[in-house]
Amino acid sequence: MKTSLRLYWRLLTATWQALLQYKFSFLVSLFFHCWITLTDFLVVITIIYNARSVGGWSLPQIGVIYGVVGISASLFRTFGCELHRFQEYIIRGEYDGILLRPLPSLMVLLGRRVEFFRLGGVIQAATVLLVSLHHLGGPGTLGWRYFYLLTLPLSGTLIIFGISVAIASCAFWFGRVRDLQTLAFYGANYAASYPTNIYPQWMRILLTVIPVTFVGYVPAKFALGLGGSPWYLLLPWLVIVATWLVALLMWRAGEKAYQSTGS
Amino acid sequence: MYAYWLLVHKTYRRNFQYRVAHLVDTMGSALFGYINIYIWLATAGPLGSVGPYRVDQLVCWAAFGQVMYNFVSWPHGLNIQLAVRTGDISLELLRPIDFFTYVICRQSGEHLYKLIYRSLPLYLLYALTVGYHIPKAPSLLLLLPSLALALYVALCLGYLEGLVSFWTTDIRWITYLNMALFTAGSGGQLPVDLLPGILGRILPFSPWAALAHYPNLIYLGLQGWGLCCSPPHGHAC
Repeated sequence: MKTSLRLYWRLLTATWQALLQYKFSFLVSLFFHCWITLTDFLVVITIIYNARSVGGWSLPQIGVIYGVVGISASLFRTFGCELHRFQEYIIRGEYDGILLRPLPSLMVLLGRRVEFFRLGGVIQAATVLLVSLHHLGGPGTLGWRYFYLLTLPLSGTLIIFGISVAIASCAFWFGRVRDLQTLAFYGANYAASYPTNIYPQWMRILLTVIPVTFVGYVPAKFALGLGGSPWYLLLPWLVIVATWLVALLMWRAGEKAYQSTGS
Repeated sequence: MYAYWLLVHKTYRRNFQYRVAHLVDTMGSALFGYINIYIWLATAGPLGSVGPYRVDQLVCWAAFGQVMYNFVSWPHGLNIQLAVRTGDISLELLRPIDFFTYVICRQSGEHLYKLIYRSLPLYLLYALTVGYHIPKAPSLLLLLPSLALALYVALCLGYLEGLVSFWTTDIRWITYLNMALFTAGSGGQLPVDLLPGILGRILPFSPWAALAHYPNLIYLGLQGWGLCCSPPHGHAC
């Protein structure tokens, strides 16, 4: 494990150094990525600007959920980009090359490429989160809850990473998983950016099974004093354990079921 | 002319091979429409209306916006940048047909397919679950050219994206800019004139508004034939 982590770190620094050879392109991509994610929040602002609240949540309160989900999803897209396009490895038969390496396959896969320009999404979502927390009174009013809310992107990233490992594992059996990604990644994260109490029961169940509701909504609900119990604060970490357990089991079973294209 | 028609037909046939996979993808895409619908029900429901739009109109807007998104969304740069990167562009420019018309026809076949196998099933799904809204005859007559124009504007925007690759090779930045304006200014998620401040006054006059905002206004009967001979007014300003 230590060797894998050391190697991953070396791959990460190498990617960063390679990126610095194209500074201008990187900065432009970073700026525009920040810009495009900002327009997503513009839609949220517009809705609340016209309606004042969504499901009893004010703009700064929704800003907290949006910020947490945004940071988590962008961090995954930055460091887990190869996992996100994993179906290409299966379709083109490139996964054989990964299996040949004397390291855990998941670690090799993650170390192949890092899309640092997607940190633009992290910058934008972090700004929304911090500004929203400031409007809610900052550390003076929120106290310990302020610092708890700042840890949510970490647990959120781990949950989204776990979900994505599970989605990618399905490629071992089905080949193409883009349709599943539309539903379980893009759709689920988009839905999780709003308070999930506004959705009908079938969708709330869906967002609990694909556990994105624990990324922002559930813990933030209690931390912002909008209901629930103190257990809600612990739930994200329990969900991380459960999600990763299922995801790693699926990954292992998938690897055993993997059949190369023979190319 | 026959060559152009053949291009449309062949691209349509190529996409036809993946109709089942695309149908599954369409169901995933339907989720976005439902999310927008529930957001509007939660926000506008208690108020009865938002701006000049009633709740039922906003629900239909979200559903039809998703239908339009599936119809007009284009691949980055209409894949012109791929030909520039590989050098194939020199061969494509040698063809004895107009390059713009060639690219537009090649892409039109895909959109024709999308209209039948993505947008139509999505429309039927929303119609069954959210409710039917059948436009009146004059609106329907105006809706058809507005759909055609929405597609034309979309393809022109995609073509411009692709052309940038002749100078910069990498078109990621222009793609992001276009996507951002598409998200905020197309009216796929919400009426563009509801955007706060100056954005709500400027973006209805942008080309992106032609992609879903005006087709939606026509579909809901909020804009009539007057749109053809005078600048947009009422809801759009």
